Amino acid sequence: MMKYVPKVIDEEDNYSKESHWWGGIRVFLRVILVVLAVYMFLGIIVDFAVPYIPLSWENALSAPIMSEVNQMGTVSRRYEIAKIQNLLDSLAKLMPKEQQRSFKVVVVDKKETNALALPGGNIVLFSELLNEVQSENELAMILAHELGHFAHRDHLRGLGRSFLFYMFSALLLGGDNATARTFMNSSGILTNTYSRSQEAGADRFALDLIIKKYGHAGGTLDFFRRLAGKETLPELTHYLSTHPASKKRVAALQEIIDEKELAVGEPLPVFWLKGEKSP
Amino acid sequence: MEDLIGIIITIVVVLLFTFVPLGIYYLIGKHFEKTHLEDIRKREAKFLQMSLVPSYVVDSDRQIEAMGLVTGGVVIGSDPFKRYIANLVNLIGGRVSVFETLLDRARREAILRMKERAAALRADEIVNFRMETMSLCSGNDAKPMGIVEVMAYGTAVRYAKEQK
Repeated sequence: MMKYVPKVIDEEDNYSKESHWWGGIRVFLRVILVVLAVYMFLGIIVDFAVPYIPLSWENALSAPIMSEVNQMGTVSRRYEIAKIQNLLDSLAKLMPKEQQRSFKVVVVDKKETNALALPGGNIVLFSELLNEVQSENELAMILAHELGHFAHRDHLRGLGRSFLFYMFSALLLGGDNATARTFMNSSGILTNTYSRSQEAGADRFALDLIIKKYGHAGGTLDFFRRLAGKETLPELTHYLSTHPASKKRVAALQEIIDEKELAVGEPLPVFWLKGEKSP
Repeated sequence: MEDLIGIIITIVVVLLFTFVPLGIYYLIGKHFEKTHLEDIRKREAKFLQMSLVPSYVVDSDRQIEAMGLVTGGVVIGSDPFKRYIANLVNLIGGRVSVFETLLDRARREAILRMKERAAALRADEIVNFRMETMSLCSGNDAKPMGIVEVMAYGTAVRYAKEQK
């Protein structure tokens, strides 16, 4: 029988000796590289594919997205939707022929000054926005801005971006976990993830439509001006938000108005609260 | 240009909010790991004389006085830093070295607890040694909690004192 001679094994070969911190940083950088590659690749694919996505595909996306909108707030009953819809239709008729389609406006009760252009031709207005609008021209400008997103198909690009946003949130929260998915569901599609250049493009498109409809640019900028007055956040935070600072927006639009020497007329008053009678 | 500045500022903010908490978790985890490893090494040296074999072989020259089952179990948890890095590795593949130390500690601790139990029973050696590892999960979807249980078990053998 062999004698048992114990020996201390101090090599500890069962794990890597590398520091967890620097190993972690290396993994992090590697993931960032992969995500960047995917981001660029998907960006190219999205930009390439978006003009060719047929309307029927887009309409198929409408129902699930609208059901998420309904979770954000109840459909408002305070406003005459028909009047807003008429205004929208009259603007939509002025769009270039190949971009025309049926659009539908939905007003949702929510304390947020925002409007969304969603797949399926749905335009969601939040009631807080309607509260602050003071003339028909202002609302027309907002609707035309959303039509601009449709015309440039930004709403579909936004979907692609939402997917990228999901990738990014997965990276931040560490992998494909439930938190990341909830994050995606609650804010992915419904946040306006348009870039500033897309917003500026939609603004220019909107101004064109307004001129076609009213013949003048009076009152169109008032809404953004008031918004700019309210914005008390420091300038820096606008870099973090998707919309350009209202002040800059107004300045850019004003420049176009001045350059083209567009007429500025009196804005039309609005009557879209239920029970309100137009004179 | 504006977009670029925005992206850079966002990245800096995000990195700050990610790496500062992670760094704190890392330092805490590192401290516990270090003290645990030191403790393990000390106890391993103490129980070095007790042989541990996976085969079912006893010393046939000696008379067995008693034998019985001994177990040693440990449940060990990870920290947010380890889970974060492991999730990242999961995205692209590779070695999950942050969990290697964790599992190594768990295995050695389980063996040590088994040996301590055997020593309390005045056993001379442990034969037929086995080890099981399982991940603790929670919820309906049995989501892993980043907690691992390691169970070591074997047959402790006590030989009769030789008459001289």
